[in-house]
Amino acid sequence: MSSTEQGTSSAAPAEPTTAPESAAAPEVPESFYYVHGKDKVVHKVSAGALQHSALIHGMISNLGYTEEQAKANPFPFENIDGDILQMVVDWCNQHKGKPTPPEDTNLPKQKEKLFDLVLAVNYLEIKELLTYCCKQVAMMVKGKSPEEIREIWMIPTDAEDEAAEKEAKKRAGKEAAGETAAAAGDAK
Amino acid sequence: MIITEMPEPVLDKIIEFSDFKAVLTLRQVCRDFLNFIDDLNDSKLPDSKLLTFGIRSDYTENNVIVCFMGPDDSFYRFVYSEVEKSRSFNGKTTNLKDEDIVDVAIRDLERILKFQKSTFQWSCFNIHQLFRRPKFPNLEVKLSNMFRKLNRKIKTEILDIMAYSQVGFMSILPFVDPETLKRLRLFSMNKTVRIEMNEIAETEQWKNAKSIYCYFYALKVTVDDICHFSNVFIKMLYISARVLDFLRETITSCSNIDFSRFKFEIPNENEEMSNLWGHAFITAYLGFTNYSCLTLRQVSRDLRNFIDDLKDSKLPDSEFSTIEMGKDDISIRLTFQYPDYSQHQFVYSEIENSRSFNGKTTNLEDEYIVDVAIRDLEHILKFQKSTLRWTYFDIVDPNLQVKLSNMLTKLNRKIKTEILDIKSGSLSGFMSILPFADPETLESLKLFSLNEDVRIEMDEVVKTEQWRNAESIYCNFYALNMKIEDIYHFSTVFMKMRHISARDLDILKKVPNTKIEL
Repeated sequence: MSSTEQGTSSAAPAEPTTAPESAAAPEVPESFYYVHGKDKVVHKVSAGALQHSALIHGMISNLGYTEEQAKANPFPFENIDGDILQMVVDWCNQHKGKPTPPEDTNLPKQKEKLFDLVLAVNYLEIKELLTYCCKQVAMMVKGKSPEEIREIWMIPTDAEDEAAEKEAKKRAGKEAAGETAAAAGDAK
Repeated sequence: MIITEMPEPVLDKIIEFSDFKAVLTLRQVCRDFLNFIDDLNDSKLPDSKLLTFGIRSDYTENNVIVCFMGPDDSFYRFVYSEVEKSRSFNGKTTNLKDEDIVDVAIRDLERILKFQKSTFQWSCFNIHQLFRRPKFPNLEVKLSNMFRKLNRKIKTEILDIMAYSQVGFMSILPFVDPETLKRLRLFSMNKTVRIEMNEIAETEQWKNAKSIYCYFYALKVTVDDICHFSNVFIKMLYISARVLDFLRETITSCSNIDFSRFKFEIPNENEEMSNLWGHAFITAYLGFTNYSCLTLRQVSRDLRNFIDDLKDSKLPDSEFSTIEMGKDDISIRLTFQYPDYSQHQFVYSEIENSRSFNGKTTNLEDEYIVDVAIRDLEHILKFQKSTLRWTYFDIVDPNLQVKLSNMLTKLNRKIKTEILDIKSGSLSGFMSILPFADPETLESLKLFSLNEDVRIEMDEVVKTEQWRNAESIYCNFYALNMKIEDIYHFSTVFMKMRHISARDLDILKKVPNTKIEL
């Protein structure tokens, strides 16, 4: 009995809140912007969704683009893979104008994808999504030993790291020597 | 992409979402993580939420041991071995090569303490060093230096420190947060050690704590230093009249002081000390064992006044099971027995005018032995709260009767005893004691005369509440002025009467199990 009453009472105030939005929508048409990643695939995103990204929000707030200008000048994010940018755009659209939930379980489970997403989100300054991602990264290694963590995150041991560094230096040295030899040969 | 190459804000956030254990594990993953975590500001580290912490130097094994307990009862124990030059933790032993184990232990401790934001329930520092052969000579100093560098007070509710000197205690105490400290407990290797406390008592930590426990002789502590504590256990070599005054005032003004936990203890050699150091040189610590305060009375005038001025209710129960007072031509004897049959006996000699107790004889100079014996009995009765099993007064001497009666009137308290035996030649003798026995507890009353042919009028005795409430009566003399109604309530009666009426005899004959000798 009481649950139905509660249900109706909670539904009732929801209507007036949505009504002004829908009423206001025709007066100020929602503006859209365009972004693309490394794969040059252009995504159309509403300004409301883009508000999650402090970086893009800062960029568009000073531009005053018309729809045509925006379409003609998509924001290029060459450092972000196409699929990662797609994930970001999807997340922004899903959470447009909504309070973010305490947890997000739809993040990639694969380490590479998650790390790329972290970098993209950090770059785009999407605070809430960065929090979810970092939490997920931390959870990946909870209760694990240092060896297991190295394996999960693919971190070389210090010895391997040093060996790799030495190798790299050696190679660089050889290449440099090769170049100077070649240059000397040329000079001759 | 390697995680360690992530931008700093990202790594900060990952650390923020990791727990304390995970961050310590991350340190071990690689050098980059180690450097990053060690360079992090403490505020960015997750709270380790540890409950207890302890550091101990173990001389027999040449180890330094650091322990922590986590909120989920997880227990962390690091053992740093001087012999093996190693650190053991979680079943894993690491060789420390040329590193000083104390340095490593303190560095590890520092690292862990950096994570602790919540308050420890209990912290324990047991790092005292024997001066002559310190195994880890710099442990205290290095620990102090670490705390100074940490630049943050250790928040703990209970703090235990074991040290040999004030310096030892002071190497830790100032680094503890005075706001959170509730109980301070200071220990030394044995309880006879004497440690000056003046600097300790000056610290904010001491002043803010609610409870203090010192398991050694605290020197240079005044009553002002301890009066703010709600719970005190402190041992002092010397107790001044001022301290006693303060204690008396506190005890008499506070109704809720648990006096059974207030104790003075006097070592056996107190007399010797008294002779050496003056009359007020004693050991006193809180907690009061029943009989010791009687001994305490003898130590100094201040203590005597202190104890005698206390309300009886503040005194501990002496818990005697029997009290016996006897007098013959040459002496008075006062004997007190505990339920375990151990006993104390005072012998007052008429000839030598002395009191002997516990192998020690005191000359009473110009005092009368009767006065001294009665005064001593009064003191002891003041302590007796539980019911005596048996009380015996041999008071044939009229002088003793009068003085005893006066004392009992002054004492203003009934003697609680189950069995009361009075030996006296007269009614006044019985009446000098009987009205002072508690009628509620009295079960059996035995009245004796010097010989069995004596005739004593009983009319006053039978009117007493004590007589009427007792269940058993024994009289070894001829009781005069008695009626059958006076003995009818007893379940056991032994009485001798000169005359018995036919009516009384008839009544008695009707009572089963009655033996009448004519």
